[in-house]
Amino acid sequence: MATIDFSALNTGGLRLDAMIENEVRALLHDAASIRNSGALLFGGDIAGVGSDTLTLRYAGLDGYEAMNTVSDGSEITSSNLTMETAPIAVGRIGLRYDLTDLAALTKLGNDIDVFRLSESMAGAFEARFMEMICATFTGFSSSAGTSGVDMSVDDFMDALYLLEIADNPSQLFAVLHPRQIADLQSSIRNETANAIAFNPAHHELLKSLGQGFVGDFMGVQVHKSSYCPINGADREGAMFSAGAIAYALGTPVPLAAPSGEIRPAGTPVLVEVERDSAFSLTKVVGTAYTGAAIVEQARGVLISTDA
Amino acid sequence: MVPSPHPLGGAIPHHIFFRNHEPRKKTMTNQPWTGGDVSKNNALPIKPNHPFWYMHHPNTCWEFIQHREKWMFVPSFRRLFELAGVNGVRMVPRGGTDSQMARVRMMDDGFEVLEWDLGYQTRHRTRNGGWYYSNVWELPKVIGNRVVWKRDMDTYNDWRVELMEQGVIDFPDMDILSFFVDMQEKRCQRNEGKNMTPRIRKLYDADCVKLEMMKKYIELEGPVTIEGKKPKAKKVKRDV
Repeated sequence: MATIDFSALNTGGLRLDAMIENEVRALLHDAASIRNSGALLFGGDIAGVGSDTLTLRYAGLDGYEAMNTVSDGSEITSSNLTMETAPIAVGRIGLRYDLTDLAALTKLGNDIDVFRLSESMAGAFEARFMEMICATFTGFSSSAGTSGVDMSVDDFMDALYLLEIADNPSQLFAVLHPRQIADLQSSIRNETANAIAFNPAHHELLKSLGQGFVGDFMGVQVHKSSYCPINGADREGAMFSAGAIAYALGTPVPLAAPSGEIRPAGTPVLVEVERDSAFSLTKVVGTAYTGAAIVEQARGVLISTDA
Repeated sequence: MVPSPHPLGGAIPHHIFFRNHEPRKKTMTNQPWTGGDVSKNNALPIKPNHPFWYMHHPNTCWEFIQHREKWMFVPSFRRLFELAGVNGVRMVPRGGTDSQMARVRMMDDGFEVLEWDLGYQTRHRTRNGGWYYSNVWELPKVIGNRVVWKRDMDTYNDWRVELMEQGVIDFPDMDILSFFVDMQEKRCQRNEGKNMTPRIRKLYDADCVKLEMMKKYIELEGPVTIEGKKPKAKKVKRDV
């Protein structure tokens, strides 16, 4: 007796070995960005300024230099003004995907197409932006932590002391590598019978943590980023006050009649869709111009600890 | 000892790879059956990064270490990446970078930038096609899909001592070092009198020993032996 089973249908070409899912999911990655967290200073846009570099200007104003005692009847001598500048050079970043018509037209459900690739550019920009922000950390002259030793509450406190000694304002930010966060959590768990252990707010940091902002510890906003530089076996995060790191952008001037130009809202990315008819190909090109730099050394501390 | 080929070229002794095992012949590689030019012998499964400059700040870049039976301060380093848009590094046409002004800026901030001629940097090919730049004392070991880095600490520390002895970097100023003592003191004070687990107690004790030795270093104005004494001067043969 013949039975029509799956195997028979499969052999006969009436069934598939495997069916692809209706949706293409994004692979797990660190999608968090601190660009809009308030931790960074936005230096401005270089469009139309006549250079690829913005220079932030600083002067010893508003009490940086205190008044002197002047005896009655004597002349007040004039003082020099302390001045400093900090440059932020802007560089070009980009990403391009070439999609053939056959690849696009054979799509199934919510699949890879020109629009999905264009949408993906916004995330690609933030990833590169975070890579650039984190790459600035290794330029801080002050540091806490020890090479080859796991991050601990003590390292966190050392960084905090350094910033307090340098007169930093109260809102501090820490951007740490996930490994550093895990080690810090482990160290906080070992705090017993003291102000750290008894503070209910600190228990938030002991929970399972997601991406980006992970909590507040000792008054410091703690962010997690896997873009923190790796130095051999060490991870390099940082603690800083707003104004330590600044970034600048460059926005390309829009064309009079742009065709196939997409500017995703809230990001400085310019996405252009270009046809190459001879190859039946659509090019999706994302470009942005950005740069980041340490603009005030006294506002930040590198935290370098073991992986 | 029979040397085995190192992924970066050259040779390293077997015992670094096989600590407690007998060296054995490799019988299998974790490569896809489809082949390709990906080989775990010459490429690292990590993202490429950028070349960098080592920078040393005479005020803040010091590390107190125990090296060759002595406690001493040695220089530590920060890195300036050759990455356009980062810390003032500019872009030049056709893909290059220009860090000249960025380095000048760092020097204005008090950093000493170490020239590449000093030979501290090397690069490793990555599977993505780019290069991964690291210092020459970091040795990568690929296990499955992961890279484990081992630092040859003795050689690295020898180099750091040499930089001071050869005058590339000045010896630390004693007045600056008191700041490091303060930091270490705060670290010890914070944990004083705490009810500690044996593991934490060990770390605390190590911090206290470090503090004690830092103070000795300043008192003796130079390296101290692990007993906390001034090391004996090296005997130098006189030419007759």
